[in-house]
Amino acid sequence: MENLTYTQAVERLEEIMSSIQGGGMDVDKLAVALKEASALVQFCRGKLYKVDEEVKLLLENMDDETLC
Amino acid sequence: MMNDIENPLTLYSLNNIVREAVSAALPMRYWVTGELSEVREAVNGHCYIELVQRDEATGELVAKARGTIWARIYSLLRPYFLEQTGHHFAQGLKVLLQVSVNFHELYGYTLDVSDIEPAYTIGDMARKRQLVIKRLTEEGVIGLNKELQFPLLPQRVAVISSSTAAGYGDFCDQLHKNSYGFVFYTKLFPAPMQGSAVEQGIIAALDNIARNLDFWDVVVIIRGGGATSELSCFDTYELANNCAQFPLPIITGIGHRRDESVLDIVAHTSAKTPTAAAELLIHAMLAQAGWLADVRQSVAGAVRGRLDSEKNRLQSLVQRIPVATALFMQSMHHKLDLWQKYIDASSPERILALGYSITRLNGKAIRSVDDIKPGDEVITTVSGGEFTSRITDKK
Repeated sequence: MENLTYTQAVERLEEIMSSIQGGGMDVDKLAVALKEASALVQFCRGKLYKVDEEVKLLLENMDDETLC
Repeated sequence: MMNDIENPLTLYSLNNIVREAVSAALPMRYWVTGELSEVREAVNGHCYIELVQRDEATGELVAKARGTIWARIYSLLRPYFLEQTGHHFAQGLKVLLQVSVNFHELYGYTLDVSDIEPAYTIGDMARKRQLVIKRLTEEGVIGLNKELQFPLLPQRVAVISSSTAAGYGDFCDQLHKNSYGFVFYTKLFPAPMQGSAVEQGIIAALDNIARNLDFWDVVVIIRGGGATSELSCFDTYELANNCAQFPLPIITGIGHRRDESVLDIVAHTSAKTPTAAAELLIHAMLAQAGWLADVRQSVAGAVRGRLDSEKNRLQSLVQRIPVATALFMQSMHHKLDLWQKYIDASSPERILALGYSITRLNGKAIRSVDDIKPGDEVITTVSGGEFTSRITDKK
């Protein structure tokens, strides 16, 4: 999940939802799906509310010299 | 006045004659159109201008005149023009001026400006703006930026503004101090936000952003609030064309009271003010936060729903078992009855009772007359018993 982008996570969440609702998912796999969905939501919320130090540093250190 | 090679005029005298001739020939005030090629405000409050006319096709100068707007007129004209057109009285504008024609011995031909008609300038700017819009439309670029998908999380924001602009501070404050605690990353790409340097400044900033396109989610172009609403520098073709074709969504917040600028038209989204632009980004984040809050519930709900439907299926199966069993039993009974009837109908007792008999020779049933010959002793079984007979004859 580390390398996942927000958009990919959202797509996966939608996929899980429609798979459960459409009845295409094996009943035995429901618990696993629920767990994965929970982790994805957690991951997405992190993107919204937690400062990504890596991004912050990258953008802060990007001065005009590194740009040109 | 005597004038020949022996009695030349002084230059002053000659110029004086010209002055009087001009004054006599052009006694009125005239309305004249032209382009301001130079506007210089002197410390004493006077304004010196240069008015030109260009060839429509080639753009080459065909006429030129210097002019003066005296301080007492300029002090009224300047704010009036700005108020009416939303634009400073500045170089590059097409203007309609009321002038009187002067000739001065030292300064030569000049125009004294006594009045201005701002509607002409407004009309000209609108016409130019329309031409730019028409060209962008014809080239199919006007809607390109709008077609870009807005990012789910517009968090990494490349800001094009002037670092001194109040609007930039407002924008950053609004964004970083949002009450929901959303994280934003902003970086300023400085560009002048006023005057003729706007076009090249913003284009250069966009080029800088484009060098690291992956770093950014959106571009925001903002200008300080409180600044006079001088919009025409955001109306140029080059600027609009660059913005329309930029690969990231552009949000504008350049604050204006009148019409949208062409930049606003080509931008992905235009906000009225820098603060409104920040709000827009916060709202996008809020929408995602709301969706995330819902989605976990929805997944749990969907799982519950799925389990319920499985349970129902099972229950209906269970309910169907007794009915199905009963039906099965019933059909078996029916079959057994039929078999019983068939068996009963076929029993030898019943057949004997009807008057039929079985005759055996040596314990073996006689099926044909060929099985016996005269003299044979046979035993015949009839209902209720049997009797023995001897064959006397056969036919």
